[in-house]
Amino acid sequence: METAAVPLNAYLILSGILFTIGVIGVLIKRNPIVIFMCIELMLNAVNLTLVAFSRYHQNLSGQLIVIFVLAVAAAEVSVGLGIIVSIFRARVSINIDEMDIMRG
Amino acid sequence: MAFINNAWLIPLFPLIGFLINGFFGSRLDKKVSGAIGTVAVFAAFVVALGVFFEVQAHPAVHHSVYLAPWFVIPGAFNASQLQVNWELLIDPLSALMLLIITGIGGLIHLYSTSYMAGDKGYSRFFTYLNLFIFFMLFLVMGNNLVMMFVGWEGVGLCSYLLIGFWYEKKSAADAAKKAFIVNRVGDVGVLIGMFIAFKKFGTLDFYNGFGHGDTGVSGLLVQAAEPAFKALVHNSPLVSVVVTLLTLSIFWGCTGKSAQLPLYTWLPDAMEGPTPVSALIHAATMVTAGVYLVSRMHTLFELSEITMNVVAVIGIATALFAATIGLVQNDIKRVLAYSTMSQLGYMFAACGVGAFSAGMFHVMTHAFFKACLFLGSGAVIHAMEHAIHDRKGQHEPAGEHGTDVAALKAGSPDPDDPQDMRNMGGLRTKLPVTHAAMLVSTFAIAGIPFFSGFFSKDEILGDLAGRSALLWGVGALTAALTGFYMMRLMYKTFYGTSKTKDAEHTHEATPAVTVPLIILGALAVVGGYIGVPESWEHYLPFGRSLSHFLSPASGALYWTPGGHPFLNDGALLGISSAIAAGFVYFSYSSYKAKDGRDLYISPADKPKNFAYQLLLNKYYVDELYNVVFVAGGRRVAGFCWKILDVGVIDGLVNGIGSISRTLGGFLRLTQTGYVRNYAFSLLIGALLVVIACIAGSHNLP
Repeated sequence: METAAVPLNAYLILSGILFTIGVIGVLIKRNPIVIFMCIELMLNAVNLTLVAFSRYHQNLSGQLIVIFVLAVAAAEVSVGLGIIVSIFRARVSINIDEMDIMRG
Repeated sequence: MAFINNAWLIPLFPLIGFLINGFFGSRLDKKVSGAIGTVAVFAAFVVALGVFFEVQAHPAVHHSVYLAPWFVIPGAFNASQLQVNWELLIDPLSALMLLIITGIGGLIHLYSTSYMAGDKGYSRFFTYLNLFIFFMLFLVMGNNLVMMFVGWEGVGLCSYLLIGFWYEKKSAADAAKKAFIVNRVGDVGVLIGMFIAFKKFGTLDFYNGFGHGDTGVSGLLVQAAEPAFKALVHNSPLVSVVVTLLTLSIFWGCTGKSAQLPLYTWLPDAMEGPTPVSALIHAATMVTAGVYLVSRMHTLFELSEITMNVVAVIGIATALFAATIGLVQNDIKRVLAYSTMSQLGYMFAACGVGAFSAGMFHVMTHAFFKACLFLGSGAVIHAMEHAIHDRKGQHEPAGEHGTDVAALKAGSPDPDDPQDMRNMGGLRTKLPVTHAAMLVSTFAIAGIPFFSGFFSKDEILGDLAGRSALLWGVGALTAALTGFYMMRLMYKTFYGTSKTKDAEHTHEATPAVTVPLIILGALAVVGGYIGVPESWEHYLPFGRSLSHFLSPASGALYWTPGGHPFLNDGALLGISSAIAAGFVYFSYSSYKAKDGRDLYISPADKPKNFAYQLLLNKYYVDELYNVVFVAGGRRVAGFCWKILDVGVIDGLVNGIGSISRTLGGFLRLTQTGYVRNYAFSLLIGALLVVIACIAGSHNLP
């Protein structure tokens, strides 16, 4: 297991691809729950990057940041799902293209 | 020195009267309001008398009474510091003016208590009148040009307020505006004079004011009287030009204020105001402010021969010009207005030949007889008005009618016009006191021997003769015309047959009106005995006392008026007495002969048609000014309004508004309300930040 270490770039490329998939998902999807999942995907891609760097440079700070990010992501999701539920209660559809009452 | 040191009381009393009547006048009873106004001025007169006696004890001393500092403008760019204080100057010249203003002002206030009694603006009248007296006192008592100018503008303001007293009448409002605007044109001259004076002398004070030790600069008149300065003017053409410009600018202001050519057109129209206003402002006081200013600054005027010649020529030309117009006017007040202009011309002519004290003497006698004439004409107008009201049987608002132009063109006088002399006649038996007062004043103004006007006018004519026979000739011709038109006024008003029924139903006025008339008439008779000719001084102990009194303040320093007369004194006296008496008698007999003839002769039928029309229409000067100045001014104003104000400035402001709106219209398009658009813009922003970080990091791969 120690003989063929995985190169750093591999991790970075992987998290870059995951992040991009997340961004495209946020821009294209109409269902807010799917958009949240994509946001989680972006956050986890960043987590992966941070852990990879931490392991590579033998510095624990990266892993500490990841712990914070996970906590914040959890809190954010709970708030966000609460908002979606209240929108669903007010109007049955949750297609975000129809949520444009803030139009100027 | 008790009175002199407290001379600030003199303007204070009228100011208090103004404030009380101004704030509470409408709530006060009419009698109280009038009494406050009159008492204020008489109180000022009492203090002025005290000041006069103290000054008279030592006429050669001028007293500066320092009151308070006003402003200091620090020096910069090679200019010295300008320090102006509230300071009074009490010397013989100002003491004389104080007595005239407060004395005659007080009598006119007394007259107004009865004259304006039927008017609903009674307390407003006294408010304005007191304010006028305040400003006029300020004008003559200031020790610097700035205070004088404050008073100068203030009396212009009060003149506007009082001429337009019956503001609902369009002709009165127009006349008020005309007076103020023409005066303003003149004031530019005074301002320019002040600027030049400051630049040249470093101060605007007449005599050394308080605090001059700090700046080391002596007063204007002190510097100008230095022999070294006279030598400088003589030797340096530049300084001579500066002094000439200074004095000419100041004189331009005087032509405006004292109604000389070319800025005189406001004075005849000013007769739209109530008669006491005409008597006070446009006969005795405001119009003499110009003569006062020239006499005050006589040292500077004397240094410039050009200015003195200009003053003399304009003065005597105005005198003749106005006398010719006065010959044919039909409105009693207009005749007196032109007469005032003419007499003012004499005063300036006297100043122009160096006889400043003689000019001031004529100011004094003119104040007596002209105020008496105006007040008397007021009594006549009131009497005619009452008769007209009784005839019409209905209540008309108290207000004096201007001459009805339409009727004039048709040739016959408006029968409802109380001021048209063609409706009068035979009033001698109905208004005896008024007649007597006006008769002696007419003799005074004509220069009949031993009345006051004789002495003052004669002194002026003698001084004119000393300079040039031509000046004397014009002056004598004007005196002849003066005698003629004044007697014409008297005859048409008081003698002969009554031309209308109204004239037969007139009656004498109340004592409040007749007492000032009697006092002024008496002064018109005896007022001249303090200025008798030099050869008579020996018979009358106080004979030359006015001249001795005034000479330290306004006696000529470098000129000798009356120096080389072409005829000796006695001959000149004889000629002018003959002219005066002769033309008065000639007028009387001519009008007596015409009396029986047709009443209304249309101007179109009169012989010498062109000359008569020219004079009747005042040489068409007003029409000329309208075409040249008023029309042009109106076009400039129209341009400024439509193109500059509405087009450029409003356009600019509105333009900024519309730009904001357009910009807002564009930016509004970004607010779509779509979450995905917002997410996209978040992404773009984040990308830009990342790019910026990489680009700025110097660790590019």
